Amino acid sequence: MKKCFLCEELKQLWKEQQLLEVFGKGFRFIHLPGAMDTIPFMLQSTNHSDPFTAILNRIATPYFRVERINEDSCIAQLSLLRPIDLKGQPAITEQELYTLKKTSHCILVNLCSFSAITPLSHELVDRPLPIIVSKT
Amino acid sequence: MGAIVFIGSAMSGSSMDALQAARRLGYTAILLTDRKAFLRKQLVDVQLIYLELMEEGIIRKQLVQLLQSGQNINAIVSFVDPYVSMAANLSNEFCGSTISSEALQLMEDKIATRLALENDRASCNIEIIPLGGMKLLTTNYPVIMKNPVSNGSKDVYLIQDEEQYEIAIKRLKKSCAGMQMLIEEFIEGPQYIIEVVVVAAIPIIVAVIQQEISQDYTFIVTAYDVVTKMDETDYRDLWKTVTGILQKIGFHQGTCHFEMRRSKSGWKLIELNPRISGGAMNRMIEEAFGINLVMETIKIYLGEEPDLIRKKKQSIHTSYITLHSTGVLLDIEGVKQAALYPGVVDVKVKPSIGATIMPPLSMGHRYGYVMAVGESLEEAKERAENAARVIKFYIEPF
Repeated sequence: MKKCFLCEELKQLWKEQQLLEVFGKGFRFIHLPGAMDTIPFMLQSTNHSDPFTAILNRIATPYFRVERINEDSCIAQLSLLRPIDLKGQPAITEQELYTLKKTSHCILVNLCSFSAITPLSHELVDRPLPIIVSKT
Repeated sequence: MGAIVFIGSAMSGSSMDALQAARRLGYTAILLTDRKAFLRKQLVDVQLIYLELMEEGIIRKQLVQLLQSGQNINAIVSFVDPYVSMAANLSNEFCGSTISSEALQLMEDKIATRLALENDRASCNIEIIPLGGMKLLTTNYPVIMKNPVSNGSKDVYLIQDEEQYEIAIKRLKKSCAGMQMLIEEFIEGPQYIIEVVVVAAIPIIVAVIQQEISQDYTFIVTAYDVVTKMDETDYRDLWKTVTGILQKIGFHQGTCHFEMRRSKSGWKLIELNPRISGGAMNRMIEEAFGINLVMETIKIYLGEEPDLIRKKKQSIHTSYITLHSTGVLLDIEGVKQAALYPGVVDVKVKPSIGATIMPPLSMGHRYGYVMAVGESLEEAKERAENAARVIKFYIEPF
């Protein structure tokens, strides 16, 4: 069985994500805004300072959701999250990121070839866009 | 080089224009302030002195220090409440100005002003009540309830019935405990600001500005129009009313502004303030008539003759932006675009990113303005309104 530090970390994140998915189901007295089922994250490879990115509709995204992990090989299936800015347009830089949209596009990665993981707030996923108001 | 000391200033508007005017007149502008925000603001050519407390004793000490350090102080002025009369008094004492500081002090207290003008025909019926535990004598609703030392429509309420009276009392008890409240008869009619300069006891009406007011539970001025044409009888009546009031309170030298309503029974006084209106007022008057009122006010403090001759006559409309959403401001868009609209002479947006946005409860909840000129008042208004609508606020609701 292949083992590496990042594989263990992502397994923990996946576990917490599964707990998050069931958290609040059946609550009658607590209102939770929207469904919480994703802990978005970024990956850093050993020999690059920029985060690892995948291309989604000609736009690079460094944001992922873990779908499953093969514990023996440490190969993970990640779905790509689409970064959106506060105007609803693709967010090109990290500063522009306002919300993340889930997609069905997936990639397979060998977790042991990465050196760091940056988890992000689950509230970023499907965060409603701001309202736009002007003088009435 | 002489210096002019300014006691307090807002972060923008008339009082900031005054700092610039002092420099244009060839003086060093020295600003005494207790607002820490000024320390972060890069003010060009302004000597900033931060004071923890803006009390008269501390200010006097500071003035003495400035004089001892060799500063040649020619005038001490304030364009913000509650320092106007104090500055005038100090200017009279330190610089030999002849400003009517006692009359300015009277104007700073709304109750004292009302009592001094009790028998004037421009006065309305009033009641003065200690806050709480007292029923109104009048049952003649609606009435206006005011904190006598507030400004910018803070703590000014329109009371339609007894229930609203009780609610207003509850609200005011938090901020005005132990104070007396002013109850005024509600006057119907369009409301105007009258900017007045008095030199050697002769009042000169520099500008009349009509206010557009949204009148819900509180009053918010949402737009201003500089009046370029007024019915001659109305104007004559206004001049007589203004002159009568100024004589009664003994105002011989200085500047002030009236807020008045033109009612069926003539001009009625809403408020009398010891300074030019804040916000965009100085800029509006300058765009309309070519008169920089804060600069001319400084000249009066310096003992010089003010130049109040109109160099032009142009219709101006200033449209203020209020928003009816609540949340956190994430971004503002369209400011540059609005500034490029035809006729637009000034665009300001106030809140910074991250600020809390809410529907207007006081004038402080106006988030910016667009000022435009036009061939007619209608054209100026249309231009300002169209440009204001281009400015978009991105808000994350709570």
